[in-house]
Amino acid sequence: MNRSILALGLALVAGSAAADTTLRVHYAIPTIWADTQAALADAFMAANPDITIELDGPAEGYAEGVQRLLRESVAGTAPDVAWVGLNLWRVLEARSLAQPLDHFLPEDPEAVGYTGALLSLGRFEDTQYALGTSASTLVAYVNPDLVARAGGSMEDFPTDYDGIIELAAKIDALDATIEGVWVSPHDWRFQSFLGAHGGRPMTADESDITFDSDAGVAAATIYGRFASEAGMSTMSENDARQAFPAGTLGIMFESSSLMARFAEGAGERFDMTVVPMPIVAADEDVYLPTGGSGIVMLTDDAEKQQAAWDYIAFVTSPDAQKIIVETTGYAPTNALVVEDDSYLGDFYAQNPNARVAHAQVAQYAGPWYAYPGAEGVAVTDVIAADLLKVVEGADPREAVEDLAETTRMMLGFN
Amino acid sequence: MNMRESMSTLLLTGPAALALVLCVFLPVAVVFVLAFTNYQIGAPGIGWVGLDNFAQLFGSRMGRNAILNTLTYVSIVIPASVGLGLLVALGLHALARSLPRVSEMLKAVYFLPVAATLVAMAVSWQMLLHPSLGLVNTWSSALGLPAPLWLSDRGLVLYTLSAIGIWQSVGYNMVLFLAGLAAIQPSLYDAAEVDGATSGWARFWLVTWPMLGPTTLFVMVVTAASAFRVFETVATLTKGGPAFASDTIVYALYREGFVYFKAGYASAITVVFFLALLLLTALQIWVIERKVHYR
Amino acid sequence: MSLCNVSKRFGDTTVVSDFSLDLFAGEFVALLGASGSGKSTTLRMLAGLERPSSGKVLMDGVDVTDLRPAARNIALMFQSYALYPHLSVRQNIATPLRQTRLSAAARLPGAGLLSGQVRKAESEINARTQSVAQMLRLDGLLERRPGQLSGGQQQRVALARALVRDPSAFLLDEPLSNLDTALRHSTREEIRDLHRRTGHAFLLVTHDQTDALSMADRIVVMIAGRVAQCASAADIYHRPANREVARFIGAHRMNILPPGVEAASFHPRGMQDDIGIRPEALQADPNGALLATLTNAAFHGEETLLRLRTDAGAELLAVTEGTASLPPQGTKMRFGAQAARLHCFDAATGLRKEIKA
Repeated sequence: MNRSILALGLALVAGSAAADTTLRVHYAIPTIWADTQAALADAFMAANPDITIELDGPAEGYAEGVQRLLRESVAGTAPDVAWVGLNLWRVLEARSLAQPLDHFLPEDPEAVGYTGALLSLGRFEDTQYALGTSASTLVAYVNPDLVARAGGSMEDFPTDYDGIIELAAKIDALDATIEGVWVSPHDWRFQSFLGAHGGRPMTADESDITFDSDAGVAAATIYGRFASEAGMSTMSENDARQAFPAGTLGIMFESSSLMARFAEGAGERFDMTVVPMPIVAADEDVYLPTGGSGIVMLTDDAEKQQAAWDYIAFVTSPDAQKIIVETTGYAPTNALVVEDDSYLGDFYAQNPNARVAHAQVAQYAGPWYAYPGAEGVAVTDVIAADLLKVVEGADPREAVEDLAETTRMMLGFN
Repeated sequence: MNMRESMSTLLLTGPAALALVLCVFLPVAVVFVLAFTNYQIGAPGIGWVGLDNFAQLFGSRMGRNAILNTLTYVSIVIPASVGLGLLVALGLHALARSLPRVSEMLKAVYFLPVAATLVAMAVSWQMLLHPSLGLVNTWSSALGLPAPLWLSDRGLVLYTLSAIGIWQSVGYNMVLFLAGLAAIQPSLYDAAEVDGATSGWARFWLVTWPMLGPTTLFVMVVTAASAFRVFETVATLTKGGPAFASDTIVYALYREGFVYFKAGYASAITVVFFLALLLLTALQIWVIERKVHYR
Repeated sequence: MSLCNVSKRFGDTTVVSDFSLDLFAGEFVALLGASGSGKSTTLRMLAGLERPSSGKVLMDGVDVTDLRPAARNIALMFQSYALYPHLSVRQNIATPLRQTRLSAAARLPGAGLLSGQVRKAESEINARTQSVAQMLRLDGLLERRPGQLSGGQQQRVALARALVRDPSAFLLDEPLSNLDTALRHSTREEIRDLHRRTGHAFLLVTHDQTDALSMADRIVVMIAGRVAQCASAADIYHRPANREVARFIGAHRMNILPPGVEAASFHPRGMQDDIGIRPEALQADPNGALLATLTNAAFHGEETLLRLRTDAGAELLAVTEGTASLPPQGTKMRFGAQAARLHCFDAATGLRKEIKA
C-alpha cells in the first residue's frame, strides 16, 4: 500500500524528468520474499526517482516462476528483470532469454564485493548471465536435547561423518518415534556431499558426468550408512520438515535458507543449533553447491537495460544485501557485507547460527550444477530416485555407476 | 426451412460454435501437432520428430512405470469406490426408513470429501499420515501395530493414494446410487418377495442390482474418468515420488511439460491419454449400454 | 383362507378396520371399492406384504399372520405387472420356481454344468414354464424382454408368472386397469376361463364394478376400510345392503329421494325413509307418480340420459332407450317406477329396509 502511494508520488515528482523508466520485476516464493521485495523496491526508487519498479504478482515457487517466465516470453510479455532460483537461470540462458551482463560489470568486481566464487554462481562459458542475490548451502540442523539424551553434547559434536553416524544411531535408538538423522535423496544434497569430498558432478566444459568418482561413491555411501547404521527412514521432505521442529528428529541436513523457519518452528521446545557440513577433502578441492536466488536481465531494450542494471547493481550492493539477510535469513552474496562488521555485526551477534551458515557460504560457495539440455531437470529426478535405492540398501558404487551411465545416456554424452 | 429461418439459426448457434472451435478444438489441434515435435516451452527452435515421443512413452522405463502405476491405481479405485459407494447407498437407503435424520446426517458426512477442496484435504491427509507425528501412526503405535511410511514407502505409496482416491469418490458414487435406488419401482420388490426371493441377498440379485444397471454404468464411467485423471493428490502429497513410485500418467504429463519444459513429449502423453479415455468411454457406453438398458 | 378382524393403521390413519373375509377353495371373489377404500392394503395383508396392525390371517385354519408371502404359496398379480425388465419372458415366468426350488448357489449361471441335480431341477422348471406359457399363448414370445411386449402380452406374462407355481390362492390387483376396452372384454373371459381350468381360489381387487360383476361368484364391497356388503353379483345389484352400496353399484348412480311427499308418491314408506330408484327403473309414464322438469337430455347411442328436477328440488336421473324421441328441454313430464324395483333405506342409518311391493 505504502509502496503504491510512494510510486504515485514519485511518478508525479518525476513527471518532468527526462528519462522516466518503468521496470517490471518478477520474483517467486512470496512467503519468504514479499516484504523483502517491497523494501528493496522502495529503497531503490528512493535512490533512483526516475525509475519506477513494478513488482509482478509473485510465483509460488522458483519452478513455477520459470514456467511463467517461459510462457510470458512466448507471449512477448516477459518482465524486464527476474529473480530466479540459482539452479534455474540456465533454463533462461539456454533459450537466449537471459541477457549477458559482462559489459555492465565494473573493471574490478572484487572492489564492489563480487568475488570470483560468488560470480561463479551466475557464470557459464565465461559469460556472466546472473548475479547471486541470496545464497544457501547445506548445513546440519541439530536438536541439542536429543544429542544430550543420547549421551553427547554440542561442545564435542562430531566433525566427521563417522562420528555423526555413531551419534545419530544412538539418538535413533532412544525411542520408536525418534529418528536419528535425515537428509533428502536429492540432487543438490548429493552434490553437496560430493563437493565436501572434493568431487564434481560434471567436467568443466559439461561434456561428461564425473560423479562416478571415489568422491561420488563416498557421497552416496553417506546415504547408505545413514540408513543402514543410523536407521534413516525414507520419509518425505515434507514429513522431515515437520518432524525436526517437532523435536522427533535429531540431526537434519538441510538448506541454510530454512534456518528462520526451523528456529521459529522449534520455538521454546529446544535450542535449534546449526553445525557446518563436515569437510572431507582438502579445502582447495572443496566447494558446496549454492542454492538461493539470482537475478537475471530479460529486457533487450538498451535504455531499459541500463535502468535494469542499476536495479541489479543495487540489489547486489552491501546495503541491499543487508536488507535481504536481515529479512530472509539467506546468506549474502556480496563479500563486503560479510567482511565489514558495520553492516551485519549486530545481526550475527544475535544470530550465531546465521554466522555459522554464512561463514560456510563465504568459504565454500560454488555453482549448483544444472545439467544441460532438454533432459537437464529430468536427470535430477532420476538422481533422486537412485539415491533412494541406496537408502533402501543398494550398493553405493554400483548405484552411482549405473546412475552415471543412465545420466550420460539421457544427456547425450555418449 | 426458408432462408430467414436458416439465418437466424446460424446466428443463434454461430457464436457458441465459434467459441468452441477457438477455445477447444484449436488448442486440441495444436497439442496434436506438438505431440510430433521436440518443442520445449520457451525454446526458439522446434523440430519434427515423428513418433519418437510416443516411442519414448511406451518404450522407456519411466513412461511404462507411469502407465503401470495409473493402471494399478485405477484397478483398485474403480471397483472399491463403486462397490463401497453402492454398499453405503444401500445402507443409507435402508436406514432412511427407520432413522431418517441419522441417514441424512451420514449422507452429508459421506459427501463432505466430494464437496471439499482436494488440495486442502491433501494437507490434512499429509498431517494424518505423518510417519511419526501423524494421528494414524500415533494410534497404531499405541496399539502396538507397525507405523508404516504411508506416503514415502515405495511399496506402499500407491495404495495409500488409492485409499485417498476411494475416500474422495465414495460420497459422489453414493449419491448417484441413492438416486438410482429411489427410482426402482417398489412393486418389483413386492414381486420378488412373492416370488420367493426372501433373503436380502436374493432380492438384491433379482431386483436391486439389475435395476441399478444404468446407474452402475454411469458411476463406472465417471469413476474411471476421474481415477485415470488422478493428479491433485499425487502433486500435493508425493510429487510422484518416492523414486517415481507414485508417478501417474497425468502427473508425468505435468512433470514433463511444466517441470522439465518438454512440451512436445507432454503433448504426446496428452494425446495418448485423451485417446485412451475416449476409447474407454466409448467402449463402456457402446458395449455395456446395450446390456443394461434392457431394450 | 381367511382374514379375521384385521385392521391396518399407518400412523394415525386407519386404512382397514375390523375386516373379516373368507376365501374358499375354488371360489372367485372380487374385492370391489373406490380408490382409497383400503382394498389394496387388504390384498397386501392377505399376500403377506403388509403385516396387519391387529387381527389374524388364516390358511386352512393355520395362523399365517407372520409368514412371508412365499411361505404362504400365494400368487399375486400386480396392477403394474411388476415384470423384471432385465429378464426374458421365460426367465420372468420361471423366477418363482427358481427362487423356491434352487439354492442361491444353484441359481448361479453354469451351476447346471456342475451338478446333475441342478440340471434335473432346471429341466423340470423349463417344462413347467413351457406349459404355463402355452396355456397363456406366450410360447412365441419366450425370449423377448418385457419392454418389447404390448400391454396385453405383458399382462399375460404377469399371469403366467403368478400361475407357474401352482399357488393355493391367486390374488389379482386391478389386472385390467392398464388395458384398452376391447382387450378388457377378452381378458375377462380369459381370466374366468383360467379360474375354471385351474380351480384355484381367485381374489380380484378392482374399482371397476363391471369387472367384479362379470367375473366374480361373490363380491365384497369395501367402503372406507370396512366391508359394506358381501354377496353374489345379483344380490349386490338387486338388494344393496345400504345406501352407500346402492349408490356405488350400477352403471348409473341410484336416485335417492329423501323422505317426503315425493318419495311417498312411490311408496308409503317414503314418508319416513329414503326411497331409492335406479335410473334404469325410472320410466316416463303419463300415469306416473312423479312430476318433474326435464333439465337436460343426452343421447348416448343405445341409451339416453334424462336429467330431471322435481318441484321439491330433487335432482334425478332417468335412463331410457336410445330410440325414444327426445322431448324439448323444460318439458314437464310424469315418471313412474315398478314397485318391485324400489329400494328403501333407513333415513338415519342408511341400512336397507325390505318393503313389500
